[in-house]
Amino acid sequence: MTSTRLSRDTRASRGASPWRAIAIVLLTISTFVPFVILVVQSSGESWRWPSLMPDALTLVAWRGVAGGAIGRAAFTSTLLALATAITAVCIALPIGRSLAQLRGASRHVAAALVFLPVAAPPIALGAGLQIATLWLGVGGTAAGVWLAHSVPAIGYVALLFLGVFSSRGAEYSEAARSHGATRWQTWRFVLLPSLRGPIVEALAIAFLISWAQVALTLVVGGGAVRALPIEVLSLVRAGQDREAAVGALLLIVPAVAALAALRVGVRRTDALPG
Amino acid sequence: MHSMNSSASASTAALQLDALAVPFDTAVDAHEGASGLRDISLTLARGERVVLLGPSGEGKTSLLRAIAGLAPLSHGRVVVNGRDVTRAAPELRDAVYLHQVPVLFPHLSVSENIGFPLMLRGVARAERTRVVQSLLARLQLDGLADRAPHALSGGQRHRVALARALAARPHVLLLDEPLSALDPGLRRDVREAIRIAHAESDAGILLVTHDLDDATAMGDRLAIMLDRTIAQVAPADVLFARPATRGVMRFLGLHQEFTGHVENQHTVHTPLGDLAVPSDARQATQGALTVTVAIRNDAIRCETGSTTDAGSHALNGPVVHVHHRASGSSATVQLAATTVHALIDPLHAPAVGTSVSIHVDPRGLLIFPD
Repeated sequence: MTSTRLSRDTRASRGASPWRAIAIVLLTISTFVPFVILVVQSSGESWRWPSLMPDALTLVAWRGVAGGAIGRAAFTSTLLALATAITAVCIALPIGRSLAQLRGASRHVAAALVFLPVAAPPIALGAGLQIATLWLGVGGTAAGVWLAHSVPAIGYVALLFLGVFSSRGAEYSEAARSHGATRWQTWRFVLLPSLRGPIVEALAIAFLISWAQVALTLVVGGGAVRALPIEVLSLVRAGQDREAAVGALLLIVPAVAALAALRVGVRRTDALPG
Repeated sequence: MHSMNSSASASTAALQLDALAVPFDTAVDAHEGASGLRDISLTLARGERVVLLGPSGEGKTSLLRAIAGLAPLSHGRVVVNGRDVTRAAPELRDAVYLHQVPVLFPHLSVSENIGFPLMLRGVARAERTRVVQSLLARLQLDGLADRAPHALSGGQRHRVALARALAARPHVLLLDEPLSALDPGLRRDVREAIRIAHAESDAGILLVTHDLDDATAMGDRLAIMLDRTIAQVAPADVLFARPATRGVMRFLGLHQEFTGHVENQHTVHTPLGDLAVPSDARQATQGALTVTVAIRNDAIRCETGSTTDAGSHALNGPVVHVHHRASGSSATVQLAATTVHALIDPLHAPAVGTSVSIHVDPRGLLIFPD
């Protein structure tokens, strides 16, 4: 009976293999083709349809990054994303822990509230946040954009920490307290170090959320805050394809770096409670 | 009804619980809406081990967590080593709670985990190292000092958790089902670790288990939790011989129940014949028409061959089933009015269909009013 099942499984896996191969090829094409096009576009001279490759290669757009608008925008985006990441983790960590301690309907309601800014379309969220930042006197400034980016980032990261604390975080805290640790010592010596993996992950996620924001930056920043996505959007609209491609590739860099760092982090430690 | 051993007076007790009421801890028990534990009183002497036994969902974990300060109390008083800690924070209670699955801090090595309570108290590094080395040796963890928790076996994790708890030098150790879900070998390992831990400490140990064998092996006294309170606390021999209530008797599962018709204050008529009422149970028969007669399993034995010696409560019947278990073998015997399970010698088990005689030792008889 076992051998019958095994041979049936083998047949099934054999039957699925051509489709699996096709799926892998399609996924590879859809993943890599846009990036290949961007790389060629960013260093191509006179690349027009139907030419398969540009007439010549040039690094002029890349050389202009350092002192140009793209460089300044990348710097602004980096600062915004770093500030957002730190803010989101500092606020979302205790929120996630508190959510994990709730039970029943109150937990579902609280989690839904936290998730609302994540689920809401960014343009709708931006419309509300624009008014709020104007009231606070930070409309059209980097500080206002930082606040606006922090709202969805906190939502995402709080849900991440909810998962972490729902699994074992609460037990670490209880074990520490029961062995004589004060609340502060529990955070200092147990929670923060043992949650290092999830915290790094949360920092990366919050950074990327801020880094990729277009709608919130546009609406709340009012065009005055030139973050990298806004700069790329302007370049695309202006038809500066080569510079736009350079900006787009720079936009991808943190995402790739974060993915690589997380893979390395996961390989290095299996002490992640989440 | 509580049968408290008051040998441990409040002044010397490691732990004293006075009339506790504990709402069910929804973090660990799915009891939302239930009213929780009530009227829990218990005294635990220094160095004493008391085992909490009871059906699942009775709130044993909630009680341990409430004592540790990890769950709220709605009424009553918790005194640890003479100090009222009812409202104290968990870290100020001198009562260490160990989770069912050992919770070791993943970012610390074995020795750092064990030294954790000492580090919190600011104990000098040299002294900390000395204590940790000593605990590593006592709990047979030599060579594992630098290992990460995830690289330990299940038994080693339990021993590290116990060593860390001992490093805190608590007056009370609260062990929440440390032996559940362990295979027999690991069970022995952890049991031994608890025994070593106990031998090296004068902490009182309050331990939860579902297993009667574990309870008798590890407990100086057993506390039976039924109907959201402690129904009886007694040493195992007393508890097994004289369960205080029908509920305790049924929970222990060491007796067989029969309906008894009261002939007079001294005799009840049962399907096993007329049985003499023990002198301390005669009150239960006063004015009653029927009572519940409980006979300890080991007070019912069978012998091959029929007998007519009815004076020793002997009855005859065929064997309908033979059960062989690790805890002992028994035969199910069909009598005229009922079936009865009788202990047998596994090496001389009667064959099914063999006629045997049933003998009841009157010392194993209990009477409960209906």
